[in-house]
Amino acid sequence: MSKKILIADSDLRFSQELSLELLSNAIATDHASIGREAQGLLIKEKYMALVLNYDLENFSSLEVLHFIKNTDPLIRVFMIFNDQKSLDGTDIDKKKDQLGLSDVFLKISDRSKLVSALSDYGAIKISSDVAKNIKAQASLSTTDTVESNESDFFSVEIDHFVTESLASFDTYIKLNPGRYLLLVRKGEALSHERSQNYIQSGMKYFYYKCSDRIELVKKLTTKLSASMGPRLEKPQMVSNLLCKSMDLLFDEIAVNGPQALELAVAKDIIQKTQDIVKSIPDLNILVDEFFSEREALKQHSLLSCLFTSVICQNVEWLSPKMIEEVCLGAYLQNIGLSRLKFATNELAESATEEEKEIHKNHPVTGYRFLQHFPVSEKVRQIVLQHHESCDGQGYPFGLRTTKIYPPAKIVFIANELSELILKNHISPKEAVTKIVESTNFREKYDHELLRSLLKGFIKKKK
Amino acid sequence: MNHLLIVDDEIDLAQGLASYIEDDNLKVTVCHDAIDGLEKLKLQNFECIVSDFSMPRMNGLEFLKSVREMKLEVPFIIYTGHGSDEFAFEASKFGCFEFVEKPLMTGLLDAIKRAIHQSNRLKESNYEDASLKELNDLLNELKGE
Repeated sequence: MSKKILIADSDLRFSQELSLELLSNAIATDHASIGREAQGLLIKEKYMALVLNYDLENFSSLEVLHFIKNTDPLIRVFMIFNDQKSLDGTDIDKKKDQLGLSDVFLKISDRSKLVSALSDYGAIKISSDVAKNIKAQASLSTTDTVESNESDFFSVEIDHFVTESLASFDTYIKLNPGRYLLLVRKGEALSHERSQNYIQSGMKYFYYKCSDRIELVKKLTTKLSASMGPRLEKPQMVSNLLCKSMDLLFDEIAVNGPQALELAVAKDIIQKTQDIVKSIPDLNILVDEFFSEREALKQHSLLSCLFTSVICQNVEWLSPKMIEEVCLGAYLQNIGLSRLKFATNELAESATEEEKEIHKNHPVTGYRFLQHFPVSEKVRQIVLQHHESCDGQGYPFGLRTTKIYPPAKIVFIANELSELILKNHISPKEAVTKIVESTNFREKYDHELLRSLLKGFIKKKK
Repeated sequence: MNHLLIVDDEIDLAQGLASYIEDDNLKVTVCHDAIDGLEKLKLQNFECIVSDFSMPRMNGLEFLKSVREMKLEVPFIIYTGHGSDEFAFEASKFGCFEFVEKPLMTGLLDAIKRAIHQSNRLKESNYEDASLKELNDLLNELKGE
């Protein structure tokens, strides 16, 4: 059965408002402003109900009713009156059975009853309170529904978000599978209070188009950076933001490369990497403490770890055990920054000479730090050499090509990739392209490893 | 043919290793002393050096430093025993391609292969052109997806 309702009323605003309320109950609507138009639509479409204004012009409401009796006697008709006076001037209320009306309502004062009656046909169980909130909060002039594949949208828990950052995106709620209602258009404000109202109404998720995902990650990253002051006032919120941001980024990478299989393996390796750290209790405590104060740095480390894994999967000479060690090196690469209070791995412009020196020496500091724990020399060498560049312009030693420990070259590329994404807010695919097209890439990176990276982003031919 | 230099004062170990890995494409020269090794390096080109750390007269780290002082970029692999943390750190300053821990030298053969491969890449005049072309093809493929 069709879930569409026809609203026949010359009042466009009323029709739009009613449409929005019904859409939030998964009921689509059409609108006719005159009787002739309503009849035309009733011929073309099958409707489950008709909302008919008694004062309709150009074919009166009674003419429309007569037409329906002959063409679609099963359709339920709800007649509405502009006000009590208009209703009192007729005997429609008494004759409603005779006329085949399901019910009679006053347009303004009875609207919630009307919505409730119509929503009995609805497909999803959103409470009427939600509908009320949507109606009250949304900008009613911008209603819209989208029918689309579920894979075109992604969800975000409403309470995971700092709401002002979301005004940059079209924000939807899901009506039923494959159907989304636009709540807020790009550029419109979505206040904290308004989002809280949605939560209180029982809604859990906002939905966004996948094409907006990397932009959303960018906003989250910016918000994260702004939240990383010397005093972290809402650690739980920041932690949630970070988790969500990483999840979205993984999803983005799944869509825009590297290809899904390798991404799944990469996630698995990251998990293993974290498990290795957890298996060394003293190290785990220190690493936890280090990252808890530097969430953005954790994000960078995880992302580096992910890309390291992607490269490793396309490098022939690495054993599975060695891949784990390289990823562990990527994860711990910045542990030497623990002496700095910066939340990110970028040096602040206001950094003192001493801080600059500490930053420059962080690979050595990290190496020394790890000498106190049972991690292999391979992992330590990666931490020590992860900023060495094939052109000899890296640090701390300025080593060139064959003098650099090969696995450290992998982490070097992954590191640059992660920084490009997080700093310039570009997609992983764009970042890879940027690296390979950079003017000095011939000298700076190991070509074979760049090829391994590219292969990870290209779908394998079946 | 690729040429590998092994420097180890343990004669049996060095000879055993050499006979194990030498083949039609890989010639191995063995020295039992780093100073001898330096002399060999003055006369011949090698694609890779494998050296023990603990040796009389000149240890592996001093040997590595001397090789770099000769402006040789050849990949250098060191195998070490226990308690070599500080040595490893110092060696990495001078560009040590790989560290392999004794007695389990399982990664040594693979490390030698990688080192020789790297070394040859630098020497092949047409390597870079081919490498860039392949990178370019992959990039175009990525952009076209």
